[in-house]
Amino acid sequence: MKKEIHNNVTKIFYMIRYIWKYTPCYMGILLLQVLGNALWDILVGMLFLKYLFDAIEAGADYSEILYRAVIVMVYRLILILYGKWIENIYRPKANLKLHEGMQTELYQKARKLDLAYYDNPDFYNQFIWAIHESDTRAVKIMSNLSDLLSSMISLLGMSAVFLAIDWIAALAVLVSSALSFFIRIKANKIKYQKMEEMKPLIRKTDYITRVFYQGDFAKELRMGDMVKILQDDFDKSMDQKISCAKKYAPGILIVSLLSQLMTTYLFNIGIVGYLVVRYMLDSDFTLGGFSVGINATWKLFVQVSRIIDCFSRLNEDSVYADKFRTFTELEPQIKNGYEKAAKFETLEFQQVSFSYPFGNQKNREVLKNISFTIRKGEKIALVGYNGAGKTTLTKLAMRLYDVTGGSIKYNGKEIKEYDIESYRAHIGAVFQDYKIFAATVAENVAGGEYREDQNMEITEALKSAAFCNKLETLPKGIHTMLTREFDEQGVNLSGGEMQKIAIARAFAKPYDIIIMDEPSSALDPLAEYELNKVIGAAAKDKTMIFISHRLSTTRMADRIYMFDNGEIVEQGKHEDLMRLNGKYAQMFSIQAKKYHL
Amino acid sequence: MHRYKRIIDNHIYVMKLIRKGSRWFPFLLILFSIMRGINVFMMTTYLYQYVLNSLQEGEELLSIFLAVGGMSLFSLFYNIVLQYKNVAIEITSYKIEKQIQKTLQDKAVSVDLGCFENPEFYNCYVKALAEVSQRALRTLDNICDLIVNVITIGSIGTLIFMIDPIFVLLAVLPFAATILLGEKQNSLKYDRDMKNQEISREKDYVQRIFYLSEYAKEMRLTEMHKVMLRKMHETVLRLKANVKQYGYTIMGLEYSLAIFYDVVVYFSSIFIAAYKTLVSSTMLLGDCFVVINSITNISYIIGECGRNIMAFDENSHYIDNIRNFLEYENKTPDNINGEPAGPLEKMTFRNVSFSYEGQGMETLKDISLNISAGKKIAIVGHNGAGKSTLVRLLLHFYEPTSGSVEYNGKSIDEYQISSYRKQFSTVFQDFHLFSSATIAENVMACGHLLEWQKVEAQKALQKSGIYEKVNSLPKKMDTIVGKEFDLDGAVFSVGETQKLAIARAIAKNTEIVILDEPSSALDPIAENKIFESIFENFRDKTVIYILHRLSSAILADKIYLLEEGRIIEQGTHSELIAMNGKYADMFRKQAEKYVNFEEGGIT
Repeated sequence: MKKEIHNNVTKIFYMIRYIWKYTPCYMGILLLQVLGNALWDILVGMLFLKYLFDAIEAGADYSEILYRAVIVMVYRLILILYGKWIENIYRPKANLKLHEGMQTELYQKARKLDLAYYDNPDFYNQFIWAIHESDTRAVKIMSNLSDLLSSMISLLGMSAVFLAIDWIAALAVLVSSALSFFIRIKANKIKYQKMEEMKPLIRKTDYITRVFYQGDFAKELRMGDMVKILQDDFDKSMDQKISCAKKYAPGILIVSLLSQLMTTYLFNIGIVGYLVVRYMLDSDFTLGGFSVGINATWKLFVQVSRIIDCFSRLNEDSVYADKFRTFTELEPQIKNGYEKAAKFETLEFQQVSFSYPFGNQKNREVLKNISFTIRKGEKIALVGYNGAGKTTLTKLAMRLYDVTGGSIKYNGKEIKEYDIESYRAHIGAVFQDYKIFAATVAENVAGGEYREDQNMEITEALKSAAFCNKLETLPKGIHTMLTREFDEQGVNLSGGEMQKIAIARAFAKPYDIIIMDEPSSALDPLAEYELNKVIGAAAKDKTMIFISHRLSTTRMADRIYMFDNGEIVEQGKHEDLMRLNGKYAQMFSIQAKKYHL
Repeated sequence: MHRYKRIIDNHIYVMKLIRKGSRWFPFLLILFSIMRGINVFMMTTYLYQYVLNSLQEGEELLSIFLAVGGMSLFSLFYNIVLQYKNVAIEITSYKIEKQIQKTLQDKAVSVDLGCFENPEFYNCYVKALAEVSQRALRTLDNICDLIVNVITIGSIGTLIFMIDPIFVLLAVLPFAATILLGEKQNSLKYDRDMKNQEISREKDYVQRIFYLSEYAKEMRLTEMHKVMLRKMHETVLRLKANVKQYGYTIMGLEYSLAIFYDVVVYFSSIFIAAYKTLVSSTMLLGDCFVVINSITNISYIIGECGRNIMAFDENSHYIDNIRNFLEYENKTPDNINGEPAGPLEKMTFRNVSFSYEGQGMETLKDISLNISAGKKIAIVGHNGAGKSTLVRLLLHFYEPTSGSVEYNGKSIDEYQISSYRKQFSTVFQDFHLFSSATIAENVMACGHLLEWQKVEAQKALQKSGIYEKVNSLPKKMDTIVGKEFDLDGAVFSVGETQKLAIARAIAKNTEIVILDEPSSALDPIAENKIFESIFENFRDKTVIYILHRLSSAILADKIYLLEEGRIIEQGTHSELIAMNGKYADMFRKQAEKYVNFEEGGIT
């Protein structure tokens, strides 16, 4: 238990350190507010009140009361002003500063992380995606801590004052607070248990509700009888929810009644009764004492329940802080080398095998014993069925993953020995699932910041990707924003046009190797035909690795590798493979058969 | 006037909705609120005033104790009811949710498909529906809160008024200030938030780029991150400027209001009450205590009341959405009295044109075509040529803007929609499996399968070529689909999902089968297998299939080539090739390399 608390505290402070790093004043400014509020609670909420009623009862001098009240009032005015300044000016600014600082650091971290981490959806959701709100979480944790601190100070101060006025009542309140603390914890346990039981039910009903209201399923719901089964399931789950609530109802009822009666109610009424009696019998006991007693009883209960809330929130916070820490301490498995990569000569795969570390495919060998060499200027085609391992091989070549067996050599040296950035700078890639960014055409093609003097290269690259006709229609040429998300004058491109932008990216820089994974999948036959011609011309002197389903496009390659089940089953020129009459020939003839006239 | 009537009307409407789930619930809750109001008044104010004043005036001790005891007993009773209510309300809310959701689900299934595709409609209604039951309960809560607040204000107000009317004036002061300044403050905040939201979108976008796995590869191979970091920095600067622009004015307004609530009321009441007790001696000690203790409280509650009343308006807007949804009249109304549709003889599109709502451009222009029973029809064309729209009109998801769709010689309007759609099985491009059901249930599209239905499901799975995979699963056909609800659930690849969709179409055993790009995600061999299985399994059926690859269209009895919403060519494959138009051109371009080989191979 103790150790657990210690752990949680360490985790939470690990996160708080980031606030300290990027907005060093933030904590001090909040702390001052906490102290100001606690002071108000104790000094004014109790001591001034006591003074006030005592003075009134004793018939003190009115101007004296007036004078002190004005001082308190001024204090209040300043305190509120300070609070409003924090809320409207300081906090928003500090939050922004923190966001920028923390996220920039985390972004860099995320970018360096192994791609493999993204493949495991559980891991991804828990640790990578969860980080996107870490700055707001950090602030929440800090606010929570300061709330806790403020409540603790108020509790201590008020108890002290209360003790001085009437120790019996104070003790009674403290005892009942402690009792209520334990009962609340018990209640929370029951509620937690119930939540756990409810969770799958809630997930189910949420899912069904989503199915009904999301457009994705709309057509099928209109066509089939799935409606009935879903609604039956919904009914069943709702009934289960009801019976689950009923099952826990007596327990919760008893515990909450207990806490209400045993603590708040009985003690409250008891204390009021006690104070009334004391006020009547004890002539030393003043109206001030009485009113502070009444007030303090309420306020102490409020503080205690605030502290309980803070603790349960801190528990949640520590779970998040734990994820945060795991993320920031993740070490990429793909280690950087020191060698700078020189111009490309050869790329050698030697008995390469690979299996993904996460996900559905875990431990299944996606590639087995792959060996071949690519030399400068060659055009290589990788063909085969879905899931045969072609795309994976290109990812290995880009060092997005490291091989699990064998090795890949660039200019005769293992790619692990090169500095990753300098190595990747030689490769231009068009992914099957390429992405276009909401930035200008030029930035998208340049794949990063764009300088005026790159104008020529970018236009050339667009030409190589057969984008020129479209380019002429764009209002601001290569400075046109893509997508209309952030710019009214932006342009939404069709799937085929976007793919051309992605292709242009591979031509924008003098990459030595160009990898294209299904570069024409979004195009219709005519456009594909055009594109293939243009690419062919642009890539004349380049080394190319090409993946395609359509064997007609891979035909001209210098060498074709036919993949099946993670292995190269056939290789050679198109004519050789056809003569071989194996899997490639079969695949080709199935496709060709359809074009027999 | 009309607006208020609408608000009241809407609230009655919601109460009726709630009463469907639990008849007496609203009344019980209102009754409880009255109790709560009385309890607040007694326990926070009246008890002390009574005790202190009685003591000062030298009342009999016994009567004081009796009074205090009576009030305590009432409070005890109230507290027991309160706890009971808290527990009961959860159970009741589930009952209500169950009923309301059911009503809405039924409507969601029958409403025009177009509603889901129209983002405005979607955002306005559909998205909000998921939380409708919570909103209904919140509406009821708001009513209850108002009742409690009115009772508290009424009782404490009367008490204070009897002590001295000036304090009532004092308590109302902040509310008056709110009326003066509140609107300005709210509208400024709204502007600020809107602007923040607008700017933040770009910041959020940058965040997505860095963390989403879709972008991970590009982020590693390009230097796009520099552009993105620059964008974030620019956004942060704009947001900071926004803070400056609005922050100080809002701070000023909030500060003035806070002064009224926190300072003016409290301290003036101290000044006045102390003066009356000490200097003019017109006030009892108990009264003085009550005034100072409860005046801030009561001005807060008055403010609260204002918010309650404003919430009526807001809730009413929301209820409007629910009502509009439930009362929405379909543009493609179901002909309930229509005839049931018989087996297909022929279908005809007669000069059909169609444009989606809000889009000026026509998606389909003057389409005429004939489909007779047992034929295989291929519809080919680019993305966006209107192929899928054509199918939607065929299934009566939409009404043509002009022209008509006829089934067995009669306009499809004359049939009951459900009986009409029963004639079709469909495999949509964006086919979804339902993760809460088993494989067999997904295939049969119904639950609680009987033995013969399982046999049917098995047959369908065998025919579509996925049975082997299904059989290798631990629970075979009874495996739940997806891992969402069952860790042992089955995950299927795109190709396998498509085979399951085809299995469903086989199991449904209808005369007409519609396939929307069934092979778009597959490699050539898999595509070929799918088409073989389609032609094998649906040999005697009418099949309409949509493609954007040409090669699989060859076997069709008739091919329609769509471009920009028009049928530009039609006929069998050989007719179209002979015509030497666009289809022939496209086909040759694709065929060129394969065919070259054939010739090359011969020489």
